[in-house]
Amino acid sequence: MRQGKLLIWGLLILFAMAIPSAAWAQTTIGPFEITGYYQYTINPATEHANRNNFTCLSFIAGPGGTPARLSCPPGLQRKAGKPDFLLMRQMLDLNIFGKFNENWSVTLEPRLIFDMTKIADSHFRQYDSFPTKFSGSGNLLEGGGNDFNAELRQAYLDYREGNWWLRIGKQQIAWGEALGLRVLDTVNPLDLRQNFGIDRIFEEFDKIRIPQWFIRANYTIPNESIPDLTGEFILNPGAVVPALLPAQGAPYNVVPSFLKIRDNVNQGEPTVGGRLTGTVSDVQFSVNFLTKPDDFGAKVFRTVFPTPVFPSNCLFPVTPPGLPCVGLENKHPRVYIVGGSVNYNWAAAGAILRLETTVTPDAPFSRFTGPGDNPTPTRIIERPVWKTVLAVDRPTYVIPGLDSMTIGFQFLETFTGGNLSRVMDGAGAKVDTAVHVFTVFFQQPILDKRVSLEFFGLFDTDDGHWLQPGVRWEIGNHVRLDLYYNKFGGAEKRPVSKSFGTSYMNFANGPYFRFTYGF
Amino acid sequence: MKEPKYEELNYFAHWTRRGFLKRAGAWAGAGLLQPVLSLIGSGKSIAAAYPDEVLSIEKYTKGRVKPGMVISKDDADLVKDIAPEGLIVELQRGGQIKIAETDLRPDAVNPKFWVEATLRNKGQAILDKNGQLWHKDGKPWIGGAPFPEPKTALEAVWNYKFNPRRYDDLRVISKVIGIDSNGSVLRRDGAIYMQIQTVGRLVVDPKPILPKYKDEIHRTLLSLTEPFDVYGLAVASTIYYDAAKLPDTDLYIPTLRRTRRVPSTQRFESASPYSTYYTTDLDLQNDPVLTWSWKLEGRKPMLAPSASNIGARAKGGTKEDFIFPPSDEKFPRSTWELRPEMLLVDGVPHLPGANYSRKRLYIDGIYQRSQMADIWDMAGKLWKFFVFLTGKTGRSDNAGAEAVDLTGIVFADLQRDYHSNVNFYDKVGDIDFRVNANLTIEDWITSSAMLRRARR
Repeated sequence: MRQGKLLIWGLLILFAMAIPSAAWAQTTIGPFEITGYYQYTINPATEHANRNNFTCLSFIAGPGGTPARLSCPPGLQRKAGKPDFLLMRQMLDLNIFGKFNENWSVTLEPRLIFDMTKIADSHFRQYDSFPTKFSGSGNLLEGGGNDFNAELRQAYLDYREGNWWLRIGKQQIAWGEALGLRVLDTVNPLDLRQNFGIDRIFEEFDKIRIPQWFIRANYTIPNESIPDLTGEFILNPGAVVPALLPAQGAPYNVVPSFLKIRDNVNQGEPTVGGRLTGTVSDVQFSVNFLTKPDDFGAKVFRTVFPTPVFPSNCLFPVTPPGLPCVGLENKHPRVYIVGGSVNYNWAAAGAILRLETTVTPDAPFSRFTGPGDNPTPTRIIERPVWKTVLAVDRPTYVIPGLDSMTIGFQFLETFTGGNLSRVMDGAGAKVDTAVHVFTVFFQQPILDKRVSLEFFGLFDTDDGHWLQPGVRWEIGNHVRLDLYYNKFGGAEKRPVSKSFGTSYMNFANGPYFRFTYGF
Repeated sequence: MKEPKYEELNYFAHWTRRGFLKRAGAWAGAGLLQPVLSLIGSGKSIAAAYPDEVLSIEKYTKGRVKPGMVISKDDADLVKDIAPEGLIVELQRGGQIKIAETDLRPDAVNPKFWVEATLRNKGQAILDKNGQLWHKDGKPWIGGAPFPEPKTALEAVWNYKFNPRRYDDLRVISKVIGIDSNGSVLRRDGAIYMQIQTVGRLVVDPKPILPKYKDEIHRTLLSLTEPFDVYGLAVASTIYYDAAKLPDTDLYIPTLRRTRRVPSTQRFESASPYSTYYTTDLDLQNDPVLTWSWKLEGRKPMLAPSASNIGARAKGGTKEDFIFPPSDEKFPRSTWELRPEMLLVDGVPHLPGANYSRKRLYIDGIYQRSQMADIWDMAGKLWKFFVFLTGKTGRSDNAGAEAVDLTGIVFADLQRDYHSNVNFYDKVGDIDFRVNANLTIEDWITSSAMLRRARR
């Protein structure tokens, strides 16, 4: 905790140094350029309470003789009913770039977050807004408490010499062509603790991609035939961080309250990868390889907690003891991913075509046994998964007199091989052989690009959708206002009984209001 | 293209000596008493090439305008016949310019090595049937202005566009202020701009061509430093030697943490809120030469910015100096002079989304360089006026002389009465202004280079 406080004070001092001279450009102190932003986000709730927070199991047998599911409000909430807010957050994010000479530079990204949701909304208990219950959580370089989080999000050193580039430290690594779809962009896990990653989609994973400790080495290979042919090697020696989920009881909790999951993260497991990129004629390409512990992992049954002894009941002491609670263990087996991407400048059509594909021969899944709607994950199995994204981007003049509309279209197919009977993924969702997803993105600037009208739509052919219309208003140099609305529907509304443990996300329908002051 | 007759040119009265020479010799067809180039080549003053009347604004205006005068809205009419239309609008709205003597140095706004190459390579440039520029041996042009005595609009445009900044490579630092009709500052943008010439290289080895990039004419990199939400955004453009082909564009987008190839078709829309210029307007004319059609509308003496406008490079400069000092004012003051021969070149875009009916480039007949443009909307109404000021920078050009380059820009949207005023600086953070500095494409303007130099 002392280290956490020291970090917080250090950040506050840096912030104080940055503010006074922010009227023009980034602040410069010696070799350091400091930029950043303060952001206030409000996400009111408009639907119902998140059922994951008050779903119980009963010993009273249900269909098939297995425990029946009950609604037992207030469950993990303090008060029953729809909460007022899903998120109310303040964030201060700094980018400190220091260049010492042509060869050496350093980048630091400290970030402070104050989650006020449960202060503003009495429906919630004092859940941990930033849970880190896994071994190796120190790798995150973060500290704080239930509401406050201070993090040295990125900290890396760059060395450039001739054709070599070396980056060492805690960093984000993003690969691939697709936007918002994780096909090649899987080097870093995601931090879904705050709002499950349904922020403004145009910012993709920047705020939620978890920077990890990597050595990243690039060498541009001199040759006369393939411009910019570059080999890249990445190594995380074993500081493993899994995907991070919201705490149970949090507004965006995706784990039903009758489950207790223990994240079994083995430190020392390296992440190793590489890619080759270059340009041939009008085509830019990459060939990629990555092996790492799986981010989300797969769950297996661990125990049924005996009742009524503390802490046997998942909801204890929220509800009277006596309701069963299932303990699962989340394991993160190693996966091997090979893939590649290409893009092509289709000049005649004014469009860029993109293709991205990966094969994971050993993706982990949970194999379930047991009857009815409440089977038990008993072991982890491997299945081959092939993902392919086709995309096209084309600016188009749609409305006379206005700037062109940026239009992006993506098609993702996920093919999972082998026997998928009673197989579920890391989120607890049933696995289909082929899953098809379309995404569309429109961005129409108006008023000389001061205001952007945006629309994102994700459609699953298995009847699910996520729509996000939004407006972004740029006011001068420092102020940005965002208003967007998340709307989930279709198969995403399936009750828990049909997709064990999954999030049926329509509780998250609602607007986001966001004020940003940058400097 | 049919050349306008001498009589059609918009000179003032009493050109007896010129009229005589027109009948007597070929040079007068271009309004010259003798060829400028041979005078430059022999180290003589180019004054001998022009009638005295066009070398002195006092004589030219019959004493109504003299060097040292400040022209404002009260007396803008005095220069109405020798100024771009946009400048008159600017003056009538509050702009002020100071009049200077005509500068007769051929290298006032061009590097000396460029002028020497122009002389050395004269007569070796050809245009193919499509208007594409080549060296007579079928290879890309080898440097300097290819047509030092341009007879067509296309030749004049190639003189400027082949290498608008004249250097083999350069890196500049700019800050843009967006100002509305009330004079309020709306936005400040900062950028680092780089250009690396791949053909027609004159100073930095390998010369004249980078073999690996022989199909390109140059690459550019625009790296944004402010405001905060574009800090670190970089735009790399590959401009092809084939002047009918649109550039290729790659971005480094900090939010995405990776580079992304994007279409290059959004050329007629502002790059950022409040800005009055489009991608097509950078360097006054940023689209490949053959994506527009060009017509020479005339040659005449005209006002143009003086090389004395050194902007932010003047230590302690104030607005009283009329050198385009950095300021938040809507109309930064600058100094102008009468140029004896200005080519009026009208361009019409043939690109999707083009919302200009016409752009007039004013190309100096001595410098073969454009510093001003008027732009009309699709209804034929004057829309924009741009001024690119060029002067000494105080830095070496690494070819034995002091570098001359852009010192300021005014992008004026005359219909909205908005301005984007640009100043250039010697240094910001760790980046400094430099030319012919052996900046390489591999180090700076590739996807992998953008990634490894990302500031965020």
